[in-house]
Amino acid sequence: MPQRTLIIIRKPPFGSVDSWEGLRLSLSFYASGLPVEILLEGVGLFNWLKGITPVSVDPQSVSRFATDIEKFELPVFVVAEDLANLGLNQDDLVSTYPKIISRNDAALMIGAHEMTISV
Amino acid sequence: MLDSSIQAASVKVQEDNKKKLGIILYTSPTTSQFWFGIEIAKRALAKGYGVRMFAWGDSVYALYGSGSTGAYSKASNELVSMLSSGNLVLDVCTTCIKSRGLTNSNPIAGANLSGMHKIPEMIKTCHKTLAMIP
Repeated sequence: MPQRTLIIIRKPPFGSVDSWEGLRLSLSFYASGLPVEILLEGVGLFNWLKGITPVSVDPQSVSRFATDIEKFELPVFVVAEDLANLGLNQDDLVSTYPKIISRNDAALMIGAHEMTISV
Repeated sequence: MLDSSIQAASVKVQEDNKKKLGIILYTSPTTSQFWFGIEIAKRALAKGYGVRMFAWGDSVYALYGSGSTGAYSKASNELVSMLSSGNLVLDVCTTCIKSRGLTNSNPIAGANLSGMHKIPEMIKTCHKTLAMIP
């Protein structure tokens, strides 16, 4: 019974392996042929930020997952209000690939998915 | 011969139709999320449901509680007890085991050392899947 799954990444790419695990999981969904979308929430958007070199503080870099996620065209979303609150804009992201949505749309997105996994 | 084939087919249909609950464990046995997952699984098994569980992240420590005390030991005992019912399928993230420096040998009989692909597979095959993540 295929379901639409939303993976919410709430952690930055350092300090814990949570975002690494979440991004790794999204690629497992892709490989299994199950629809999946990724929401980078709050400081979770640091996983797509330019100039972040998690390798220096954490040996498990997320950048290879980000590259694959873009290559396989898994939908990725960033909340506009989170960017603003962190004093950032879209140019600070490693690419223009993530779609910028409002917090309201993010809430609607969460409600529209049958399964949500938040790390 | 025919009767036994029909009986076997009937058993298979019953197994296929049995409600299945998926539970994703992520946190260590010292957290409430882990124990909520265990308690929900126990109750589902008691009601005759099939349960699939995936131990991911720090929850893999639950397999290594034998010989220790407290939450880790209790977690191992609970998993062994549920596996003995025959209605629990327990898959464990091998990458998570290796990255925590734990031995790659299977510490609990019946648990399957596996990969992340088991989570989407669980969502596909279970009627409902719960992610016990804070």
